[in-house]
This record gives sequence, structure tokens and C-alpha cells, in this order.
Amino acid sequence: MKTIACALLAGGLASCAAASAQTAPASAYPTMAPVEKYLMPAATEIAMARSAGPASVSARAEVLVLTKNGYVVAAKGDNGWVCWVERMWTAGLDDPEFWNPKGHGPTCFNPPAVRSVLPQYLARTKWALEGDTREQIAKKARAAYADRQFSDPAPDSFAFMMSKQGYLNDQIKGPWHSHVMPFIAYDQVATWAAGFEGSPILVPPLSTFRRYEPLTIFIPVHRWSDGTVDP
Amino acid sequence: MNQPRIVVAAMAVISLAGGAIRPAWAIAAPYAQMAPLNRYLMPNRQREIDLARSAAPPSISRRATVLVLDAHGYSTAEEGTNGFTCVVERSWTKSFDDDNFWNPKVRAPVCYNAAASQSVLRYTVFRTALVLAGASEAQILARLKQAIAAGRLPTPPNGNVAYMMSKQGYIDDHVKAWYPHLMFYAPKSAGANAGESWGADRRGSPVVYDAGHAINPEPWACFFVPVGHWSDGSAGPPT
Repeated sequence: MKTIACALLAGGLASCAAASAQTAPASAYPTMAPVEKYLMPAATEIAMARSAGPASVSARAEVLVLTKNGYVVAAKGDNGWVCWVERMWTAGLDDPEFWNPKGHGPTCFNPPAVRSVLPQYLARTKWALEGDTREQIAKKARAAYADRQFSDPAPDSFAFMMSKQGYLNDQIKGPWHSHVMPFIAYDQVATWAAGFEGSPILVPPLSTFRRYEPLTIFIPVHRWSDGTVDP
Repeated sequence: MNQPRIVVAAMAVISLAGGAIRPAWAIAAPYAQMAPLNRYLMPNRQREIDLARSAAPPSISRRATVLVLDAHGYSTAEEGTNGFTCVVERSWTKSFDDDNFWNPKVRAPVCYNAAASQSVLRYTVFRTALVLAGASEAQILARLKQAIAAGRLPTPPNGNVAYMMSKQGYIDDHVKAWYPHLMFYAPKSAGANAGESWGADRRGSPVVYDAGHAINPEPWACFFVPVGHWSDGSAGPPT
């Protein structure tokens, strides 16, 4: 099975260092950095968030921005989509760059993903800002799955990650490729032939994900959100 | 971005650029009725098997079940082990009202994943049986509606995916092989507002939805995502 060698924010943030690891390896980012290091000016963040999707979608989407107290609505939308800039803690729970403050993943979630996936990432953000460790966050996520507060992604959940901006991890040091990103249940990977040789559906290193968190797969597309070709 | 002109494919798709209205060039209706059956068949069984498998990369299709069409309908030519089913669909899986509905040149290779093999593919087989029994386009539509209403055809579960990555396909006279692409089957409601929940057919979106699909009674909305390579690894045309 082919994985994206080094990968993306959990959305699409996940790093290659953990690709073959059974447990989280030593990390350059063992703990959370000061919260200020994860923040950016609101106008910059709004523009980056909207750049995740084509303007025909993102211009009418709700936009979230991160503050010291969590994500807040910076702009109202009317098409059911939500655009925001993910931080690395939305990567797999065993991702070695989980606390990398440089990680910025602009993404636009479609309505099913807004309903089923976004609440999980917002909860992680809340826990992170409250000072939880990665393991504490994982424990809470597992408990939330167990009591059905969280669930597998709703059918047809996906996101656009078509921004030229962003920084998905230290290996990629940028946005990777323009892509569409379905969210699926962990057990669906094989049923979609995701990661098979020659398949246009790619998978992140599965060892960085746990079964009680949303799993993302990636379908590279030809153009960035601004219409230019992604070579 | 130039929006890909979808006039695609498997199960029912097809119309122009998301429009439900029959395009002007269709008025001539070059395929007003079914041609002699043998024009839809492939005399070389192995060629049909190979064409079916070309819908997906070998890592998927070589272990798939393959169906071939003969005068009695689709039958299994080769049993697979991975749950996928590859088949060469004919023109009657297009949208009702499509001007290529009876085009005997259409050869649309597609590989369905396990979920779609148990649901979406059954509609292809159902339509085909009616065609071989001599049904007209209107009769196929009516019988399809009846079967769906009576619960004799399944509602697709979640996770229905199909690969259409064959360079050798002939989807219709307008687009030939179109682009290599994936197909996703969503609940019919996802087609609301021209597929807004998928961001489809919006300027610059990589997702394509054929609104003409709405004319079909099949209980899904089908979305297309063009991808960069054909199943043989060669680059697809730029979108």
C-alpha cells in the first residue's frame, strides 16, 4: 500500500517520520509551544482559510480563525461550508509533529464534514488550549467515540485543500499538492482501494492515526484554488 | 479554471456541463432507437475483459471480478478476490434523454468497489436485461421506476466508489474517453442546488456533477473528480 511519503494536515497534517512507526516516535515537538506561536493576524488567517477552496465556494463559506480561547467565527457564510486554517493537532494523534507550531493547513469543509468532523477538531483545539497533553487529548477523543459524542465521518464528508499557502509539515515545508480530501472511517481505506499502486486515492501513514479519530485520504487535482496549474 | 465538460459516464450520467437541458446539437438525434444487438457486443471476449480491467490500475483491476456482455446479458467472465467488479458499460446506462442513449459505439469501462458492486452495478444489469428484452427507452425508465418503488433494487449504502481511468473508453461521440476520473455516489439529496454540498460545477471546483442526472430515477447523485493519470500511468489531459 502506498502512503503519501510525508504527509499532511489531518485534515491533512501528518508527517512521514511516523510512517513505519508502531508508536509515536521521538519528536522535535514533544509538548505544546506557547499559544502565541500558533496564532496569526485575523485578516491573514481569513485570507488563508478562504484560499483552501475555489472562490466560488469559499467566498460564501463561514470562516473560523484561531484565538487564545479557541476558534471563533470571523465571517458568516451561507452555503454550509466552513473554511479555516487547521493547526497540527488536527493531524493524527500519533503524529510526531502534533505540536509543531509552524503547521498551517487551510481547508474548506463541506456540510457533512462540518457536521461530523469539524466538532472533533474544535474539541481537540479546546483541549489543547486548556493545556492537555497529546495523550490526554487522545484519551478524551477515545472516550467521546465510546459514548457516541463523536463518530466516524458522515458519508460524503470531504474538504478542499487547494491552497498554495499553508505549511503542512517540516518535510513538505509548504502546501504539498492541491487536493480533495474525503474523510472516511478507518476500515474503509481498503474498500476504496486507497493507497493501492497507481490509485489516484492516496493515504497518510496509517500508523499516525487511531481508530477513534477521523481518517483522511487524498485525491490530488490539477489546479490550485486560484486556477493555476499544480505541476 | 476551465470547467471540465462532463458528459460522462457510468450509470446514467451525461448531459452538458451540468445542464439538464438537451443541447442543441442533440436535436438531430442520430441514435433515436436501438441498433441491431450485435453492434453493442464485442465479439472478442478477451478484449472485453481487458477493456473492463483498463478502468482501474492493475493493482485493483487484476484481482477484480469481470463481467462481459453477450446476447443474454452480463455474466461473470472471471471471478475476483478483492470485491471490485469491472465491466464495460454500454450506452443505455446514460441518462434518459441523452442523445447517445442508443449509440452502439459506446464502451465505458468502469470498476466498482465492493459496495457499488452490490448496489450501483445492479442497476446496470437491470437496465441491460430490459434492453435485451426489447424495451424502449421509455419502457426502461418506467420499469426502473417501478422496480425502485417496489424495493426490488437496492439503495446504495455509504462508500460507493467507481474508477473510470481507461484511456480506451468511448463514453460518447462528444467526449470520447473524457478525463480519467473517480465517481462517488451520494444520496440523491446531495444533488440539491446543483450539488452545492459537494461544491460541484462551481467555477474553479475540481468536482463535477451532471445535473442531467436528476432525470434518472436511480437513488443517488453521482459526482466526478478528474484525476491526473490514466490507469496505465500516462498523464491525462489537462482540465
